Parts: sequence; C-alpha cells; structure tokens
Amino acid sequence: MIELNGQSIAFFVFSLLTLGGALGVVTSRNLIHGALYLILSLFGGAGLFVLLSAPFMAAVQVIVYIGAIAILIIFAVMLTRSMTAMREVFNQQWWISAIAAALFFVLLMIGVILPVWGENGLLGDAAGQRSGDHGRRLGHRLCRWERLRLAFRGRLAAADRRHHRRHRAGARYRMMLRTRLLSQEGTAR
Amino acid sequence: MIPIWMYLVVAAAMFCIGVYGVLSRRNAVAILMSVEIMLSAVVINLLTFWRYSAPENIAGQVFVAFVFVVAAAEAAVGMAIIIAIYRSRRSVIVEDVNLLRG
Repeated sequence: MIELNGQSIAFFVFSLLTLGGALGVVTSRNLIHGALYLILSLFGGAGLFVLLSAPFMAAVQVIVYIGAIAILIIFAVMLTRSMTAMREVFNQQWWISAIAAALFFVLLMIGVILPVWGENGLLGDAAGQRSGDHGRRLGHRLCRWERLRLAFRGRLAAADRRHHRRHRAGARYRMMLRTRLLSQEGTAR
Repeated sequence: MIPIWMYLVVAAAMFCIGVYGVLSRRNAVAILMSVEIMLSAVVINLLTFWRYSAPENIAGQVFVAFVFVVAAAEAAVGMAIIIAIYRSRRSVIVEDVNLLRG
C-alpha cells in the first residue's frame, strides 16, 4: 500500500502528534494542559506542512499559532483562573455530540474521501501523483459521461418514435408487413 | 509520496475531534481551542489539495495565509469577549451566559 521510508514514517509521527494533541485538547480536564496539547497538535500540523512542501506555511504556523494564539489562550486561561479545573468538563449532551462527530467522520470517509480520492476512487491517487492533473481527469470523465448520456437519450428517443409509429399504424401496419412478407415469399418461390 | 487520502483522513479526523469539542465542552476557552483545531484541519486540507492538484499555482498558499490571518483575529476577538464576560459575570461556562436566549 505504502512503502516505509523516511517520509512515510515522518507522516505517521506527525499525524499521530496532531491527532493525539487534538484528542488531548478536547478531553483534558485542566485547561492549561489543554493549551499545551494544542501546542503539540499545532506543531504536528507544521510538520505535515513541511511534508506537503510548504515550509513557509509551517514557519507561519509556528510563529502565528504557537507563538501568538496559543500564548493568548494560555493568558485567557490564567485570567479566568477559577474556571480552569472544573468538576464537570462536558455538558449533558456530550454523548449526542460524540455520536454526531463519529457519524460525521464515517460519512466523510465512506461518502467523500474514499470513493473520490481513495486507492481506486474517481480521482485515485495513482495517476494524480504522476502528473498532478486531477482537474483535467475529472473534466475528461465528465465529458465521457455526458457523451454517454446524450447517446443513450438519442437511442431512447429513436426507440420511442419507432414504438409510436408502430402503434399508430396498428393492425394496418402489421397487415401490410404480413402481405409484403407473403408477396416476398411468393416471388422467392 | 504519501497518498492524498491519508492527508484527507487525518484532516477529517482532526475536524471531527474539533466538532466534538465545540459541541461537548462547557468552558468557552476550551470551545475556542476546539475551533482552532478545526481551523488547523481545514488548513491541512487546503495545503493537501494545493500540493496534489495545482502545485504550480500559488493561490492555494494565499488561501492558507488568509485562513491564518482570520484565525489570529478571531482568537483575539474571542478571547477579549470571554474575558469581558468573565469580568462582568464571574463565569466562562457557556450555560451561564444566556443573554442572547430569546
């Protein structure tokens, strides 16, 4: 599926950092710990940006998110000191929201990501990696589909016309056919 | 090269974790942190599509820069609102702040 080289190992480490940090943010009881997990998650995101060959955006992520926003969040947590370690972290509908988020993820996976960008999806990665022409391939596929639809519609219309003609003619048409057939047989004999 | 769907799966999982945090946490600061996670997932998605579909076009990175700027402004305004509410009501629990409820 994917060969194990330095890039893929770095990808797995950074995505693990990102997702683990995100989980830590939403589940941590102490908000200071949540802010530190947020820094971890954003750092993993910066590593993913480097893997996506956008090093400037990784630097901006570190400077703006970790350097400014996370510090701002830590300041806000400290200024609202009495609220940092509450007994009840989640509200009463936490299980409904968990089900909703899980359902949303499953829907995204089986409805959008895997059928369109999966291994052998509509815009599968095999050809897109080679030349980076997802848009052209999509256009080509749409064009082919449109041609198919037009051809099918034309064939349907032709069949419809034939059907109408035959039924309007009715028995007379069938009689004529039979007589023509008989006469042809007669000439053949 | 990493397949594109792996990045998309990571971004989708991160976005759903952020959705769960926004819907289930009580502290307004925690909700804002979850919003930051969702924005980060969106940025990963944007950069992935830029890299895999149009790497010669710089517009994808410009979008990401816009998202960064908007996220920084949003965090600053959100923190200011939260601290103002804390100074007037002595609470940042979102169930206690129902001024706008009809």
